[in-house]
Amino acid sequence: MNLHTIYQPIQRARLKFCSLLAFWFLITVAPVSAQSHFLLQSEKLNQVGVEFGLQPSPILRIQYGRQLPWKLASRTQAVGLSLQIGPTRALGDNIGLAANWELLLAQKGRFAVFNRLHAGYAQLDGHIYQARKIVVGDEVTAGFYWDRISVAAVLEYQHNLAVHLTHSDFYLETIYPGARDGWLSGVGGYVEAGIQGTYWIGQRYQVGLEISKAWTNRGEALSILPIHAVVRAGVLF
Amino acid sequence: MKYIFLIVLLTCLSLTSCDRKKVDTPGILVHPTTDQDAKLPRLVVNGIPLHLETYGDPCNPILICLHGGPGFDYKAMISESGIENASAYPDERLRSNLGLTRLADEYYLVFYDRRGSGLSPRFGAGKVTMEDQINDLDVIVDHFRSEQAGSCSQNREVGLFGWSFGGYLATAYANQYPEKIRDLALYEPRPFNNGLFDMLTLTSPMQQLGEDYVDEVFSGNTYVINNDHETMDYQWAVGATGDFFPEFHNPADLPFWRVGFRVNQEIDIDVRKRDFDVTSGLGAFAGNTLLLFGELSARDAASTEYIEALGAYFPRYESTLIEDAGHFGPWDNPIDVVDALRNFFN
Repeated sequence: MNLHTIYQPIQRARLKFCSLLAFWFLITVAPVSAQSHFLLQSEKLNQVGVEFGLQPSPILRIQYGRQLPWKLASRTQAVGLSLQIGPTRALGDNIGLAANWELLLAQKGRFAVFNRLHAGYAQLDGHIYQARKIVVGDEVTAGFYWDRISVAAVLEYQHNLAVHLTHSDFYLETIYPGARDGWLSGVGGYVEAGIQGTYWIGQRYQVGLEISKAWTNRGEALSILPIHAVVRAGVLF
Repeated sequence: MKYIFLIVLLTCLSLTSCDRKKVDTPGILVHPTTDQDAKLPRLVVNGIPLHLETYGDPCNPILICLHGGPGFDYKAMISESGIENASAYPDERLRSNLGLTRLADEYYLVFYDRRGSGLSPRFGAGKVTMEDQINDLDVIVDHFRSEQAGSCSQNREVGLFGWSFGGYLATAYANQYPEKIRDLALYEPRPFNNGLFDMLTLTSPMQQLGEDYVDEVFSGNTYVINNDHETMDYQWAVGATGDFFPEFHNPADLPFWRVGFRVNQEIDIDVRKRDFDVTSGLGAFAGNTLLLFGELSARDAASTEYIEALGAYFPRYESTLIEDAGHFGPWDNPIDVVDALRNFFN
């Protein structure tokens, strides 16, 4: 029996075991300090951020969030507002406003789960129709939050509670004169799943990237774009 | 807290009490199809009621006109800019002899929307193939030839006019059934293979993310969710009226009744992926082929080398440019297109 042939597999197994142990320690047991999420902060309670990307159309989103001084069932919570515009359009042609409420659902070591409920209004003025919608949605984010970086999975569902359409003269005269204006029901919603990463610069500034894919609530592709991507930057104060 | 609850409750109640139609109700957003509207003219082909109309004397030489897309319809071929956009219901039209229907004095014209396109019925994902489109056309050719054989003094041969993807289909049909077609006229046919595609100069919609219509297409996807054919076709109307491929000089007033989104996406991707063969049998095609190009498209998208490469697939071909026209020549300049077709088929 060649000792070398016995020793090498043992070494490999030991290396694998130690790596797993270190990883587990890093992500769950290591002391928590300034972790890379707004709700994990204890001193800077306000956050302002900006996002830019394709989701699915080009969007520019400005957000403000504030941690609330009281906890809900011992869980940190925050409220916020966001304004979204289509940066390639005239102001007002593609615009939305939403309010949100975010809760730190669970935390164990470096692993944390957040939930964000939001409700909002948006409008789109196009050459086929003017559309208005009232939406509600929920987003769950779960991931690992170290001092400087975080990586998390994101799952969101957004539902159109109501949609109002007004058709343009162009559509009525050139394409279909029987199109109906008014409120529509049963419009549905969409699911978006993705991964986000954030990097902290110092104690206050963060940059991040989120890549996701979206499907309608019946499993169809939401748009012909294969993926959505958003970059973000924020500051705490 | 109770005031917030009251506001939310009142909002929900007011929304539920509004007079609202379900978004997928036929006719709410887009034109109903033949299986939803019995008043639309049709011919049952392979068990499917295809939206179809004829013009002229049934004993004249048959000329079948194939629309583009995939997914579009034949409305632009029977309408005329500044005069009338044809209603889908023939008895509601005010004018006649518009667009390509001018040829009805000499030809028996057949216009139809292919399955999954225009006002013909819709199908689920993956249910419409290029083979189906060829087979449906074959049934239509046989149908009208049989009609003539039964009621006319002589059996006329069939000519095909194909516009854009319709030209691709016409070529595919001649490739498989060269003996059934007398002559082919193709207005800027979709390239026959991936190699020819590479010879075109085209700016795709993905390269135009700053354009309003692209923004409207993508943003609109989050308003009217693409869950069924009605909503998919409705949203695609935004893109279909935009200036996709600017080199083609899309007219701002191009009319259509309804664009089939699923067919538009799936068939073109499928033929591209398979590099679907539409040319290997053309050596047996004994007829003549006319390639028509808009002078604006020829200037900006399709070089002389491209037109020659396209024509080389046919035993006998000629080409002509249509003045003041881009890719949508039968709409941009129907008079010159009609003259070119008349001269060619005669």
